[in-house]
Amino acid sequence: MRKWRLLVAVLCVLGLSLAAGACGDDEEDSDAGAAPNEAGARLEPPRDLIKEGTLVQCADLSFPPMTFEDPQTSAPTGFDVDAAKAVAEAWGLEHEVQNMPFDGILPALSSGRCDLAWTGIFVTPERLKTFSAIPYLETAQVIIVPEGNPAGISSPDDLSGKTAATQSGTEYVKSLREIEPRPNIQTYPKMTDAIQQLVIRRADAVVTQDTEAAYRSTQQPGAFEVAYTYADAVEFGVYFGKSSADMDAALTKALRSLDEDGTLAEIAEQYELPAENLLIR
Amino acid sequence: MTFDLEIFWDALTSQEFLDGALITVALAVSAMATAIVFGLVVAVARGSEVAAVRWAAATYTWFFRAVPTLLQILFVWNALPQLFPALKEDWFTPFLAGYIALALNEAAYMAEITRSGMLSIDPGQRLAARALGMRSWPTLRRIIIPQTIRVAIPPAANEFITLLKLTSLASVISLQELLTVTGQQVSLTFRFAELYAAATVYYLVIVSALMILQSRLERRYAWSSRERSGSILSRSRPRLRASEVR
Repeated sequence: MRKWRLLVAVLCVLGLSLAAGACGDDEEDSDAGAAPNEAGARLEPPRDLIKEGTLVQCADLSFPPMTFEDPQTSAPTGFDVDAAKAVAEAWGLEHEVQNMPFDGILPALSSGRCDLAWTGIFVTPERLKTFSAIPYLETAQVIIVPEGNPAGISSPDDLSGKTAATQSGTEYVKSLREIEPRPNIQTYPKMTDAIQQLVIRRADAVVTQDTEAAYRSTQQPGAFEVAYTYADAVEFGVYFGKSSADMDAALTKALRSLDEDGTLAEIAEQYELPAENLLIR
Repeated sequence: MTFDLEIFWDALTSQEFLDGALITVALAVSAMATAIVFGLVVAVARGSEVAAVRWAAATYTWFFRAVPTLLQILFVWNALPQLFPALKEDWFTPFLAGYIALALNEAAYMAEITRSGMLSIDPGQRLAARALGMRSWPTLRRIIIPQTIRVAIPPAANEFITLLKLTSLASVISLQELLTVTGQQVSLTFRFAELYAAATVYYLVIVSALMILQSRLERRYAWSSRERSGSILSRSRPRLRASEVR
């Protein structure tokens, strides 16, 4: 009998420690510290934060250079992460990133799991029906192909009859579906998966953002080239719930202040994004 | 935002959801059918007199149960083309890749289920068949397999239901099955409650159909002289043919 009790006790301890270890796995903290911004005075943070004293940002860490993981340390990094960190600093808050696949980001924002969804999300009328957004960067959609353009793609219509890969749940899928006759569209959970299909030559082209294409070509010089740039530029926006009226005012003020003192331009430069694409007014 | 019945109904009757559900069911059914047959082969091989055959079967069930299903799917889609470049062509669709991976994976589990069904048959059955002069294949076909099926139906139906939900793993290789389609629609419109409810209804309908099929099968294989006295005697008794006897 005693042996059984000992076994049950050990199993309970194991189970509890496993459960405790598993909680808090996806959260990656960065120490922002409560330092005031360069202007001297600290800005007022919004009142309705989900976690006291912390700015929680939802991001899909697979979309460089906006949000990705540092190759050496696996810490969240990228323009969006650094800019959000700067905003949190300006408000005197800690900063936290919740990492999840792209098509779970806006649902998470809806269900109150983060204060901001800041991860290279386009501003679209459909999304604005449900959420508020502040645009911050202009960007264009591109079609990238393997170096040398073996399939001879020079416009979206050339994709008909070819295989095009992209990330599922994105606007890119929509623009691929608009091509008549339809190409063979493959959608993958992450943009990196789609680009992998390009590398192994299963996909003839990938539709993605100019930012992603620029980053990938610094990582793998000479592997891809941009075959076509879509004419209508779009805007990346920071999304938050419609009910946080506070967030709108506070965030606009914070972004303006960071733009004026050059912080945003500095961050943009760090990721080779043209500072003239910044939209804060 | 409350639950909008119209959006729910539109999603439920939409072509995308229907196509997604059909792909899910088609993948599950085809993979399961292959897995049942192949699993039976492996299970019989486990009891073979030839040591090499036994070893091969044991290795198969070891390997394909150990490697996670997701990894197997990714391997077939991404790694195999590296070894066999022909697999990059359009004919090697995500459905085909998913089918291969899921069938191989599920066959290992079905082999164990079938083997346990065979173990539940009294060894006296085989002895009696031998005493009658029946050879191995007729023994298998007429004596062992029918009794195995009866025992194996509930766990096999279980596996089938699990496999139906495992098909959603194929979204990582761009298969447009039901859950992928649901996620895509949600990311366009954000009507989570209505769309998730529609997907749930589809899964419930499919699994309910499977459960009805299961109970029909169980009734068909439930021979027992106690419960249905006379019914066995009243069925035409199978006769042994000359080719089946030594």
